[in-house]
Amino acid sequence: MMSVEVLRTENLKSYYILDIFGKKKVIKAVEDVSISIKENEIYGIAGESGCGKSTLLKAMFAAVEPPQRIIGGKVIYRDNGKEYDVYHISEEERKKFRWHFISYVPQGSMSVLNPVMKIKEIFKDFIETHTKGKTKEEIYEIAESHIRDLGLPSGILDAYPHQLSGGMRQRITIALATVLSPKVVIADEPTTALDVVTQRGVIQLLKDIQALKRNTIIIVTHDMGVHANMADRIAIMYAGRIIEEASTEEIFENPLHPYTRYLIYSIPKFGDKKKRESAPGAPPSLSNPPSGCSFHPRCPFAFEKCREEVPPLKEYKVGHKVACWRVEEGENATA
Amino acid sequence: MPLLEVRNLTKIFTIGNVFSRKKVIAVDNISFDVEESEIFTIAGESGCGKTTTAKIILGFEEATSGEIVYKGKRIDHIHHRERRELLKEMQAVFQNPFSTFNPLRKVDRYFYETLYNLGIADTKEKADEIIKEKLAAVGISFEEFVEKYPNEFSGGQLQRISIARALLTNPSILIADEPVSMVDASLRMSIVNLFKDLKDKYGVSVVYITHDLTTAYYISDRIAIMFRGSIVEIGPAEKVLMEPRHPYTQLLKESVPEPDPNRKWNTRINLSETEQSEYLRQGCKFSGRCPKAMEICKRESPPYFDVGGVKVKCFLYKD
Repeated sequence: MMSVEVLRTENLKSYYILDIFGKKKVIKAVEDVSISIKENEIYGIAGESGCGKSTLLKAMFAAVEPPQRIIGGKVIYRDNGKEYDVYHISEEERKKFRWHFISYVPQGSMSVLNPVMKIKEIFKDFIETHTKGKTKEEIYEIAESHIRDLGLPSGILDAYPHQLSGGMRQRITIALATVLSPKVVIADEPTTALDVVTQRGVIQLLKDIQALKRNTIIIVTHDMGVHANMADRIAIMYAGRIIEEASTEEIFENPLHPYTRYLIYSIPKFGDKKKRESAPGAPPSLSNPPSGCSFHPRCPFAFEKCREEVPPLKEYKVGHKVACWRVEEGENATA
Repeated sequence: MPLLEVRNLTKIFTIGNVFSRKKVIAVDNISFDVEESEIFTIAGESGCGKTTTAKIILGFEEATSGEIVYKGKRIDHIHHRERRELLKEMQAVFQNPFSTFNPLRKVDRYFYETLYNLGIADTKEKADEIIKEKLAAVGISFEEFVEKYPNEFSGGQLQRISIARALLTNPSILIADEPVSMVDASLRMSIVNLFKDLKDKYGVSVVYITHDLTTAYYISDRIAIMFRGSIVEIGPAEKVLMEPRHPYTQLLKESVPEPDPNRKWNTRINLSETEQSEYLRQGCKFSGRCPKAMEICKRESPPYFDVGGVKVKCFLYKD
């Protein structure tokens, strides 16, 4: 089934350029990322801390602030059949996309709510800033019906943030980010600081929103369990690059990249006490990434070519892309 | 005789000011034993009292009532000097290794300081020898460790180092409070396996405090599930986690997202709106969310019932 694309990146590169006492330091957080995200899907991005996930999201949301910079590549939004190159339009136009077309739930977002404002005032503030010509009553009406649609108790509109639990605050920020019915919702680690039961509530809410509004959700988390429960497709990120991308079923059943295998097979399961091993070594520094494939120092299968050349992200099976020389070699051997 | 006994431990925090005071029972009359060479897990969500329990055992916090007994001797009201002796036997590993160590101080200084202050080594040579041995146990070489600041290590490495530091005194028991929650996913299991090795090779007991039920299942011998200050279910990990009896344990286990796309959740859950309402609830604290709540649950706090070697605090198992 071919579905319509809603957002795509083309060879996107985003670095942090720091100047520490005259010494220039470049952190290559996003390196050559080309992904295509479809309408009405949940796209998961997995990877550990410091692999560039959040930087990629900020670049996609067009909220790049120094020291982060876009070094090369494009981010394309597709709205009503027209394509917009986000970094080649004016700031005014970019603003129009924000929250209406694409919205962003940042990491640790349960602490973004203003502690001295009631929830309904926060909604009013937000809606007023981004839409014109609505009366106070209309705005409260919108907020209330949105809260009700999402199955949250409407009484919370009269509460202050501190009166609510962390999970409820997190769900309110998600409600806030979706109140203008954006086509794309980006959620950065939306469940990380939450307990398992609350996490499940938040995932339930995100899925409900997707079912209700038929929009696209891009969810970033390092928890493969969350991805298995939510995502339609998953991209695995390592040291600033996408190293594997496939449908959720395919990733879990047939992971090809050695890093993905470690990520999936190291998770313990109930009823199975088999010894689990972590990937050896430690994640690389993005200011000085290893040559060739950035996973090669930790990879038990690395050979000469891995140390020298960066493997391209290539489609080996329909919808399953991997960046690994070993897969390439295996493919050549069987062909 | 168990290594560590916790008897009827209660901790009440008073919140608010002089005019309006509220009492929160953070730990509500809990009892458990830790045997020698055993991994005992205390699992539960944030705010269930698991960290408070750890702090009381370590002596960082004073209990409102109850006893902590170590090797048959009470340790909850001991003198400063005795506490220092006890440190040789009982050590702690904390959640965030980067806040365990001072960022402006080289990590190896902590090691030498511990050894000299507790009188384990008196010369540099002796100290080096002990440090090398302990670092080897956690898989770090002495060369990559000396003369370095905390920021020169990755989170996983630094957490191993903090475990090595805890091992310097040859402790019989480690209290590990969420030791893997700050560690990268790809390195988490290496730390978890380390605790298992320490138990198998050196006979160290571990009190493993976590919210992660899958790693708890993976390493622990026995487990206690805490909810809003009480232990609701306690017994062998295999039994408690494979056939959970208490409705809360069932909910908790079911809510762990499994890394298997063929086993997505198909039921829905209700969440509590605020945390305090549950602390102040009469009767069973879970009764507000429990699908099987009865009239009695709302009035009385259930006692423990023995169900096949597992103690369950729930009226469902009354006779």
